[in-house]
Amino acid sequence: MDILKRIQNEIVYIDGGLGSSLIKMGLPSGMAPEKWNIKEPENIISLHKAYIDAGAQILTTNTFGANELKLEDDEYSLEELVSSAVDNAKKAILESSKVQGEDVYVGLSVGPCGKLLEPLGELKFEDAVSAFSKTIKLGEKAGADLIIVETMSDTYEAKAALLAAKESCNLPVFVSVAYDEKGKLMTGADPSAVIAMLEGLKADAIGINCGLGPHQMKEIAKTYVELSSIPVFVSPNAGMPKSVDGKTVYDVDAQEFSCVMKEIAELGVHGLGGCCGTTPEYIKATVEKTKDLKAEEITKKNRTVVSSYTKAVEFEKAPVIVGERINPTGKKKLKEALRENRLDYILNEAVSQQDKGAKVLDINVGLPEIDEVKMLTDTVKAVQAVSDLPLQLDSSDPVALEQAMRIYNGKPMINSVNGKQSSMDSIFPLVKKYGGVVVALTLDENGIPKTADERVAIAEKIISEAKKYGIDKKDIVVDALAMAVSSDKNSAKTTIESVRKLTEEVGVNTILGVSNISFGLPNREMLNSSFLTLCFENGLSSAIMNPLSNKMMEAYYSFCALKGLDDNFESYIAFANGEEVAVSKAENAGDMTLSYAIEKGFSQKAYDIALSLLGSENPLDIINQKIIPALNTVGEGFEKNTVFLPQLLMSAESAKSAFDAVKTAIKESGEKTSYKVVLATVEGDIHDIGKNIVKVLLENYGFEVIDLGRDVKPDVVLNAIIENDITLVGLSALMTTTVVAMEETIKLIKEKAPQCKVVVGGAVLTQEYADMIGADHYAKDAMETVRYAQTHFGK
Amino acid sequence: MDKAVKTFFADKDKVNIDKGLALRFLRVRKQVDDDCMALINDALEEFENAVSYKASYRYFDINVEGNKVYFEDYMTLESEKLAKNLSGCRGAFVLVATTSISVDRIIAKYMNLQVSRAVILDAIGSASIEAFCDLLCKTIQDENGVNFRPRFSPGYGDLNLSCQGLVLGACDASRKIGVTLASNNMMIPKKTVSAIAGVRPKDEVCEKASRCELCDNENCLYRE
Repeated sequence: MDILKRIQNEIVYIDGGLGSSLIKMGLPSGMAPEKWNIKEPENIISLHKAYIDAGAQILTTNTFGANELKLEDDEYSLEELVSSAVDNAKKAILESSKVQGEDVYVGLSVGPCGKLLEPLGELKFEDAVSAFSKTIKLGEKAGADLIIVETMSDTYEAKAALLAAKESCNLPVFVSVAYDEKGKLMTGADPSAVIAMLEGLKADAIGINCGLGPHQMKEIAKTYVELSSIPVFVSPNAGMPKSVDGKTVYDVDAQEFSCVMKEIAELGVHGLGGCCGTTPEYIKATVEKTKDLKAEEITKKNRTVVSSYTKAVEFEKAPVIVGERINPTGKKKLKEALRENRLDYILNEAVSQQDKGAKVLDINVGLPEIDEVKMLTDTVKAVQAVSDLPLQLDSSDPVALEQAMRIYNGKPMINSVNGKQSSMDSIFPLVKKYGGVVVALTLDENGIPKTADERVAIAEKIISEAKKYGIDKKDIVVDALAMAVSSDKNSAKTTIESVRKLTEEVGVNTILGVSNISFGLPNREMLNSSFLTLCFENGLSSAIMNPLSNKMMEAYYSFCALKGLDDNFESYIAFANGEEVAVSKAENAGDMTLSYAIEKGFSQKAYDIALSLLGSENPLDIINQKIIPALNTVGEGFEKNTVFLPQLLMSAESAKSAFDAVKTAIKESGEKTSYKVVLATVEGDIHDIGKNIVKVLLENYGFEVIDLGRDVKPDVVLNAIIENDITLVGLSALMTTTVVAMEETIKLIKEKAPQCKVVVGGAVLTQEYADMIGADHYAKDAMETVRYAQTHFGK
Repeated sequence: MDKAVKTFFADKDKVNIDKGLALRFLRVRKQVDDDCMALINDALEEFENAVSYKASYRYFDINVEGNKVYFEDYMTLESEKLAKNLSGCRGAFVLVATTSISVDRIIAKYMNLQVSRAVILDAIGSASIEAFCDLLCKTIQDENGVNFRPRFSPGYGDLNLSCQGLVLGACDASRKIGVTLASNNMMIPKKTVSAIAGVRPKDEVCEKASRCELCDNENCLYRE
C-alpha cells in the first residue's frame, strides 16, 4: 500500500531523533552529520535498523542539512551525500529482520536552508525554490518514497520547499513546522495560518516537529486536527536538554513520552514520531501504547480561509471587509504613483486601510502603460513588508496573477474567475497549484444576466467546473455583481436576491464590490452604506469597499453589533469612541501656523494647514516662504545640536506632507527643476537606516532621489548613474567589512563615470577612511549631505 | 557545568529598557521636548508588543594559549583581545540573544512609512538587546553560581566576524531561536547579539569594566 493511503487511514509510525542520536554515537563536534552517510554508513544503517525494530514505518534520511545553501562541502558532492543517505535507509530495510510483510518507507528529510528569505533576509524566493529542488530531485532519483519537509520555522521557506517538491518530483510531500513556546513560528505564523497555506499548496500531510516536548505540542496538535482536512503527524522532542556527567540528556523519558503520544493519537493524529533527544526506545514505547488504537477518520472541514505570513482570516460569521483602495480605477493619485513607481503611496494606503478595520486588502495595479506582471509582484512583496493582512490579488492578466500567487507569502484571495470557459481554463489550474480562495464573477460569454436565477446558474457552473480541478466550493466566493441602480432601478434588487439565493440555496460564500451600485448618483456613500446593510442581511459574506469611509464602516459595525456578531460590542465601541476622538482633534487644528506645525513635527496638521492656505496663497509662495524656511530653522538647529535626529525627521515628514498638499497645484504651474541624486547602501550591507534618513532630508530639500536600496552591487550603481545622467551619488556603509565594497564601487564610478561625485557616510566612516577610498566628500550626518548636495548643484 | 545547549526566553516585563541609552543611540545629548518624548513612548509601546526575547547558550571548557582560545574540540578562536579577556578562565559561555524577527519587521515597516519612527524603534531595539543580554548573563551567572568577565562579541577588537558561523552553530541558534547569518557574517534578526562570556576564576575580584574598553573603534559615536 502506498504511504499516502496508509496515513490517510491508519496510524503510521515515524522514526525519532537522528542528529541527536548520531552525536551519541560519536559524531565529531562541528562535523556535518551528512558526511557520515559516506564515512560511517554502518552507524547510520544500524540506527535506521534500530528504528525499524522499534516499529517505525517511515525512516527519515540523514539529509536534514543537505542543501546547497547550507552545506558547503569540498569533500563530497550534494549528490553523493543524498544518494548515500537514501541507500543507507534502503539497506537498513533490506537487512532488517523485522519486516513482517509491512512496508517501511524512506522519507527524504528536507530541513531549513539556514538563510532567511526576503524581505527581512537576503535569500530570494526563487533561489530557495531552486536549492530545495536540487536536493529533492536527487532524493527521488536515489529512490526515496516520500519527501519530508521538516522543522520549518518560516512560512515562506516552507512554501518554497513544498513548491519545489511539487514541481520537481512525483512523490507524496509531508510538511512539518516547528513552533516556539508561544505556539508561533519564528517568523510569527500561528497554526491556522500555517495550515491554510500548506493545505492550499496541496501538502499531502502536515505536521509539527522539534522546538517543543510532547506536553506543549499536544495543544497545537489539537488545533491541527480541528482545522485541517488532511492527515496530521507529530514528532516532539524528548522535552528539554540538560547535561548529566558531560552527556546531553532530555527531561522526558520514553515512558512519559509514550503516554503523551497516546493522548495525541487519541486527538486524531495519524503520524507519530520523535525529534531531538528521542531514540528507538521512545518509538518502541509509543508503538506499544498506541498499537491497538483505531485511527480517527479524517473529515473535510469546509472552512473558507485566506492567510498572510502570520495570520488567517476565516469567512464565518461576521462579514469580511476587503479594502478596495489599492486599485487605480478612478483614482488619479494612485495612477500617478504607479506610473512614477512610488510604492510609498501604496504602502500608506495599505496601512491606513488596515488601521481602519480592513481584514483583507485588494491589490490591483493594472494600468495600460505599465508592466503589470512586475508591478503586481513588486507591490505584493512591498505590501507584505508593511502589513500582515491577507491580500486579494486582483488582475485580469493570468500571467501577472500566477507570478503574484507564486511569491505571495500565505494563501491569497484571487480576483477573479468568471463563467467564461476561457477564464476558467486559465485561472483554475493556478488555484489548483498555488492554493487560494477565488472570487467568481457571475457573468459568462453572454454577459451579465438580468435575473438572479441566471446568475445563480453561472455560479453553479463555475463551482462544478472547479470541482474537476479538485477545488472545493469552500474556496470559491461568488460575486453576484452590483450594477448601477441609476441605469436599472431593479439592479440592486437582483443583486440582493442573488446573494440570498447563493447563500441559502447554493451554500457558497459571497462578495460584492458594493460601491458600483451608486454610480451616477450624488452622495454615493449614503446609498452604498444602506445597500451594504441590505446585502449583509441577505447573507453577504464579504464586501470590497472603502474602509476609510466612516459611513460604510458605521454600517458595518452597526450590522455586526445588531446581529450579535460583536462580542461585548467591543468593535462597535472602539470604532464609535475612535470617531469622537477624531472629531475633537480636527477641531483643535485651529490657529497654528504652518511653520510651527513643521518645526514641531505635526504631520497631519501641516497637511491640513497647507491645504487651507492654498485657497488664499500662491502654492510656490507657500513652499518658499513657509515650508522651506521652517525646514531650514530645524536643519540649522540640528547642526547646532539644539535639535536632535528624531525631531529633525519628524519635521522633515511634516514638511513632506505639506508639500504633498500643495504639490498638485505646483504641477499645474509647471515650475519644477529637478536635481537627481542616486543613493545606495553598498554591496554586502543590509543596514539601510542611515541611507533612508538622508533620503528623507534630500527629498525635503527638493532633490529627486533615486533610491537603489541596500546590498547594491557596484555595477547597479554605475548603471543608474549612466541611465539617469547623474552627477552626485551617496553611498552608505555601516560595517567595516563593507567599506571594501564601497571602495570598489567608487573605483568603478571614477573609471566609467568620472563626472560623477561621490559622497559617503555611515557609522564606521571617518574623513580618513573617506579619503583613503577615494570619495569626493565625507558627510558626518544627513544634514551635511544636504549641504554638500546644495553646493554641488549650486542651489 | 551543564554543557547542553540551553534556551532562555524572557517576558517583556522582565527586560528593563534603558531609555537613556536609546536616546544616546539617537544621538540626543540634551533634553528632548514633550512631543518627541511622547513619540518615543508611543514607539516603545509598539516595540514591546512586537518583541520576543529569545536566547540560546552553551558552556565550554576553554584553554587559552597565546592568542588562541580553544573551545574544547568544537572551535578555536584567534584574537589577542579575546585571549586577554579570557586569560585565567577555565570555561566560557557562548551565547546568542535576539529580539526576534518581529522587531525587524516593524522597523522595516516604518522605514517605508515614517522614518522618524523607524529610527526611534531602531534605537529602542539596540537598547533592548543590551538590556536583554544583561538579564541573560545575570540569569546564567545566578543559575550556575559563577561570575562573568565583560562579555566579548565577534567584531570587537581583533576578533574577526568570520567566526560568527561557529559561534551561532555552538548554540544551535538557527533552530533554537531563529538567528541566521546573512552575507558578510551579519546576523538576522538585526537586533541580535552573539558573545562569549568568560567565567571568572573563583575568588577573582569583579572590577567594573566598560565594554567600550574592549573595542578598538575610537570613532564610535556611542563610545562611553
